[in-house]
Amino acid sequence: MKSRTIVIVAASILLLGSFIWYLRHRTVTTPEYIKVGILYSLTGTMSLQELPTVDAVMLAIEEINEKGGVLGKQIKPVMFDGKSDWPTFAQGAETLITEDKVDVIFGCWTSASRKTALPVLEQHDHLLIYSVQYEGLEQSPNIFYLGATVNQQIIPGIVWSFENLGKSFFLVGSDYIYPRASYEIGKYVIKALGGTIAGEEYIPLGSRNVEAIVKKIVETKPAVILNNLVGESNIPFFEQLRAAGITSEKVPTMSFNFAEIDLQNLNINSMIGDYTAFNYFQSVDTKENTTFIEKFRKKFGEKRLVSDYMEVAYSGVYLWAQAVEEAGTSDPKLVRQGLKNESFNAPEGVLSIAKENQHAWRICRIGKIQSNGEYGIVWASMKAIQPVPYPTEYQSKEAWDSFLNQLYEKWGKKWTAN
Amino acid sequence: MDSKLEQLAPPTQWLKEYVQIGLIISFFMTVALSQFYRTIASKVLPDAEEHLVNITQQQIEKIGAYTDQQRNKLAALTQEIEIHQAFTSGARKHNERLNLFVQSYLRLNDFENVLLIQTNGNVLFSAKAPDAFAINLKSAPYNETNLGKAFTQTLQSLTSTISTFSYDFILKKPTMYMLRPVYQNGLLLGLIAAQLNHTAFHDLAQEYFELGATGEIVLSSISGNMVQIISPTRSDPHSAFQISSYLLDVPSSFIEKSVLGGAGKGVGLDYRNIMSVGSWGYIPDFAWGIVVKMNLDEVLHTTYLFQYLYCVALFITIALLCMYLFFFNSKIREWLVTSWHTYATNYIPPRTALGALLIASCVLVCLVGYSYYHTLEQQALEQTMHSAKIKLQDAAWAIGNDVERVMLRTQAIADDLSIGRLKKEDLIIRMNRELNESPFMLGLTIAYEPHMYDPQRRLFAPHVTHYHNDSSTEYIDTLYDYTKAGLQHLEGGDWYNASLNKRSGTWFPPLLEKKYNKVVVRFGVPFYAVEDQNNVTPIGVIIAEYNLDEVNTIARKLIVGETGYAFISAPDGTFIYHPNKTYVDNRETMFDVARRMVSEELKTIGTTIKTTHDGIQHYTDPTTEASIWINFDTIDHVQWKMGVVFSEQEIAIAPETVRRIFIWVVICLVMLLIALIFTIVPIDAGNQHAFSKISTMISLILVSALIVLFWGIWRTEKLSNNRGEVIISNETALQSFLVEKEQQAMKRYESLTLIPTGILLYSISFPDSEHVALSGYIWQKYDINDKTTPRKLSLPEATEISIKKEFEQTKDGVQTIVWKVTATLRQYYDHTKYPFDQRTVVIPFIPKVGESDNIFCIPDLVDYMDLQEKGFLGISRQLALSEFSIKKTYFSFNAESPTTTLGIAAPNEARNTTNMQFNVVLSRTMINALIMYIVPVLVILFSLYAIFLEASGLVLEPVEAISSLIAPYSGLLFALILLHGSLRNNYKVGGFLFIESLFFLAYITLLLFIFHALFSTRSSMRNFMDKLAVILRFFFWPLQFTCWFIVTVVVFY
Repeated sequence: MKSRTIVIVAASILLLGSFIWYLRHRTVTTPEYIKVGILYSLTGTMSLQELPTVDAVMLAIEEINEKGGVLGKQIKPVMFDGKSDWPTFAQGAETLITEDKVDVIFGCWTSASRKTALPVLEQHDHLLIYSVQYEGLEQSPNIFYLGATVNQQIIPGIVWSFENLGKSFFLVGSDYIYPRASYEIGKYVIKALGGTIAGEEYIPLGSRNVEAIVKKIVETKPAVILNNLVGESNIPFFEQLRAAGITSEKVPTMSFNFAEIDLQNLNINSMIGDYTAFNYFQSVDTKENTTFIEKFRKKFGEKRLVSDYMEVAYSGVYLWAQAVEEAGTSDPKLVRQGLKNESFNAPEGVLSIAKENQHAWRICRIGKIQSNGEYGIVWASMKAIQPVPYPTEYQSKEAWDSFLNQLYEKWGKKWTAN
Repeated sequence: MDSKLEQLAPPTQWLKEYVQIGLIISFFMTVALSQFYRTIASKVLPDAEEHLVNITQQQIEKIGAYTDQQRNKLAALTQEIEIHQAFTSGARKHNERLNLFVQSYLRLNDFENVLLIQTNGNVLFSAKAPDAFAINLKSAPYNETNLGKAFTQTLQSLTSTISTFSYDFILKKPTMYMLRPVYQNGLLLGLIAAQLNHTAFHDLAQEYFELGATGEIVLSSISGNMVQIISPTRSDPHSAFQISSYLLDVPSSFIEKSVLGGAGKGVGLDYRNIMSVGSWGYIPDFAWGIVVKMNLDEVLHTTYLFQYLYCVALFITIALLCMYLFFFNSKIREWLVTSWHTYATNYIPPRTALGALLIASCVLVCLVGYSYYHTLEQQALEQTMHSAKIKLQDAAWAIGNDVERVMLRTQAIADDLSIGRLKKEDLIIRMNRELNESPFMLGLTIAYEPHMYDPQRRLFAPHVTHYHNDSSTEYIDTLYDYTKAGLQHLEGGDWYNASLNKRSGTWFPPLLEKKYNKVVVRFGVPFYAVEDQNNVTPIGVIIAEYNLDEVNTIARKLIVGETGYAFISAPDGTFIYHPNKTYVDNRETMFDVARRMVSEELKTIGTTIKTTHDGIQHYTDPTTEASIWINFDTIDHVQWKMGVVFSEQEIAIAPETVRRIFIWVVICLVMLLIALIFTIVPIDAGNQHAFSKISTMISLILVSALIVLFWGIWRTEKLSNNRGEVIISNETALQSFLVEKEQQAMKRYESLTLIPTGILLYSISFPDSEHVALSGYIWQKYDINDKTTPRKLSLPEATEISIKKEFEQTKDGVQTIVWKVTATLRQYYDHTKYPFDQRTVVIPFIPKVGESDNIFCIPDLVDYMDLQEKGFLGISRQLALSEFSIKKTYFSFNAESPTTTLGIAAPNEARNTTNMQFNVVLSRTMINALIMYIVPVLVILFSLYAIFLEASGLVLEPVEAISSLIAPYSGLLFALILLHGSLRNNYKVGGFLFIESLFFLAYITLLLFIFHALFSTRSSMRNFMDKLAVILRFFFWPLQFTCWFIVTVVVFY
């Protein structure tokens, strides 16, 4: 064989090989970010509680972006203001999904807003990460419920009060789906324990008109007040309770929606000794929590407080990011499958998804208000409690659905009384 | 020959085409192998990870499915009318009926037990061990149990809960419960708790299907600030609750990541410090982590072959390319030569200087090799120190935990007495129950102040003990007045006043309690009158006697190196645990030991340990001059010091690592020296004389390298110990081993009979490859009062044996019998690495056959000290070995289980299968193999080469070729076959011997030469055969030795 021929053949094969190698390894240009929707009330009565939650979500997004994003892409948040108006949430979900093409929505605070947005999510087969404690009695494949169900927060709160504070309860709440439904379950629990219900009163969401309730409490003299008021209503309620001479020593209050952040608007000294049942308090002693608070304060100010729903919203972003990484795509349908198996070492402890109902396993904690404006933890479950959205030991799933429908119809096909 | 060769074209011309073709083939082979290797390597790891992820998911789902199934079964049970009736009517009234119902339920539903618990915490009913569960789960210490905690959570959340999987001191084993509320007509009746069958989970963790040879599943959980393995693993069937480590701030191991809720896959060090590929996940129902992993080596095994092939192909390509460019491309060659001359003229000193540079490089290589070895040695020491520290911390934590349990239980009794929950009339019942539930407490004393128990009785101090399943109650007040000051002279000291005055929990120094014949440590705590709300004036003291068995077990397991051991000392330095039991029994301190050894250094170390919380100390053993390290830490609550002692000499680098460094150094040296030859000898002209010179010099270098390599391999051959044996190198190691055996015997209410035994061998020989013949003396010492132990000696595995009583003497109550022994034992030896193989001659001593399990032969180490014979232990100086040299001798106990029941059905588990054995590790001397096999092969090869040289210049006819060449070649082949046959006959193995590679190479060479002789007579092949002859002539020896070198490196690397 001639040398020249050999060299030419060798060179040709080399060239061909290089070309094939190039074809195999060439990169495909793709968008450099993943859009996520943030759907909370930035204005209106609920903004007091929802704005800090947005901050927590933004902190998580920023941290993930700093670490290189998800699947090598940056997360781009798209905000929509629910304006504390429930139909606006449905509109917001529609806009975020169809116009902004987001891959996930972090949002909805009240159950009313979630219930309104739910049909839109199901219609588009999309994904919502919901991070607030709620009444349960719902299980949509398009929502991951990270907030506590009734058996993870309200029932432990009631049982603990029954064992440690007294056996007669006065139930106070805002008049919408969450307090109504959760108290319905709570009443079964009180009955099962052998306790009594001294009274049950509701006021419209955001209302400051609490005189009548306080008057009834004074009259009925319960051993414990169960408080499920949401938003700004808490401020006049506690002020007028104290004005009426009801202190924590006389009739302690067990709240379910009253976090560290809400305490800021009241005279701390008058609140010392009251209780809240939550899954997370700022005083939780874990390394992850210390880091979370440090980072939050570094970004939003040294005096800022964090609370349960903020911590869960923050962890929710991480859970979603993990699921995206493992699925290798941000497609909501595929991410939903992955999310069912996710766990995250959150500031409160390990936060895991129960794949059978898409709710989270949560540790329950009972906190007592202290003079420094924080909650001292007086009881905590030894480990996370299994989420049970439908407490079927009290009545069947169908009966619970019927109960919700009755409320919906009674309120004129709305999820709030007003 | 030369005249014929000169007619041929110069090698540089006719070789060109071959080199070109070879280059192209090797280039494409390299590219193909590279792609193939990369493709496989890039697929193997992700594929394995994905496979493990799938198995992890499968196992999580299986655990989930089983849990759901049990949850549903329990939910169904809560609906049963019998259960409701038990709560509403009181279980005791319906006990029989309920018991029948629950027992049948347990049989069908894979639960271990079912308990009914009232909302006030009272356990209403237990299907098993009902007496043990006559407790209230809201009271201390039961509220701190896994059942107690799960009860609280279930009651608070009214949600089904699974307890942690942890040690249950009620049942004295690890347990796990599933709890659920029971309702009737909307009213909460109580809770039902079912004890889960944890073996079901262990079984799931032991499904190794599709996990290769090293894959395993590890379940783990968090316990305090530790993460612990809770299931048996494939590599350690006893790992459950035995292996734990601290949770780090940044979780690094698979197990840590999994218990903290992580899910993922990757490569990293596992809990055994072995590189593994793993997948991990979290099981929220139990808060467990699950890890599925395989050894990285096993996963990558398939890629190694392609990696080697790729490297070889790359090397050949580069070599051929260099050769082609230099020899056959005139432009490049000219340019290289010109450049070289210019460079050499201007910059490079003469060839001698270049040679000096290469020699300097050789020295540098040696220095780098040694430096690397030294660095590894340092790293090994640091790693051992770190590992010792972690083990020590774990052990100290475990002991601290036990100690805390004693304190909590004692304090709980004191609290119950102080608040009136424990009535005076229930004192003895409570004390008995506490001791029943606490294997770590041997006794309890409740001593009252005068007239405080009963105004009519001055003193009252019941002392309840539980030992060996016997319980006894005595009243100390009837023995002496414990309230008197100045009772320090008593064995227990002034325990009463010391506890009373301190007003808080007090730990006392260890003491040898005669009642138990063991060292115990006491904890005392005062209690107060019910009406004394502020706990100001104590009215009595509770003393708990802490059983140190568990502490001893933990300390005994803490071993670093071959002879390392642990110790525990009280704050004053008194030994609480030491492998040498006499230190503990005599209540000696570290300072006593230092005084006896006349070691100021040890005394200083003792002071440092006493006054410092934790740290590491170093000293030189005055007797052996060994470098000793002591790592120590403080045990919480009691301020005891725990230390681990190990010898630096035992922390050597693995012989394999040393050998690999050595092999690399030799390879580098060979390459540098070959480069040196090319520098010295000018070959650029293609001159045959130069080729001859180079060929000879390369051969010499390779022969030298082989000799050095053989020496290195011989020196670094690992001294293998038999699997499962406990080496007894000194009295401490022996005592440590015997403590465990004594405890086992005590559990059977028996005691050990020890027969100190010694051996002195005068001859060792090997009649064939499967037998060893021995002769020498064995002495044994018997207690003269022991009439039951038979005075006889048995050497199992002996095919021929002669034992004669040579001498007998009775002195100081000891009967010494000396036996003269001549025996041939059947033993298996592995010869595959002959002549670098080792033989460990094992002489097992069985004191009896089919008699008591408690008779042990033990090494008579004390008498060896007195023996005149120094040198190797148990070997006479007169012993002569022809083919071997002794590397070491030692005594050991072989704890391996028998692999057969010998036809005996259901062998007794407690049967002693541990026997003393004397081991002689022999290493083969090379000279025998050299004379018998290597030299003859070399001679055959040399003869072959000589015949070939003589004949390759001739033009032969076919008939001449047969008579002149093939006949002598066949003769050599025959000689080679005879030699090979003799080798196989002497060293029987299933596979190949290393030395056989020389024979195979010689066979190939011979066949090549026969092939050359046959075809060189044909005119059509003559040209090619002449070229082949040139190659064979110049490259015969370099090729032979290169092959030997490569084979040796591959086999022994």
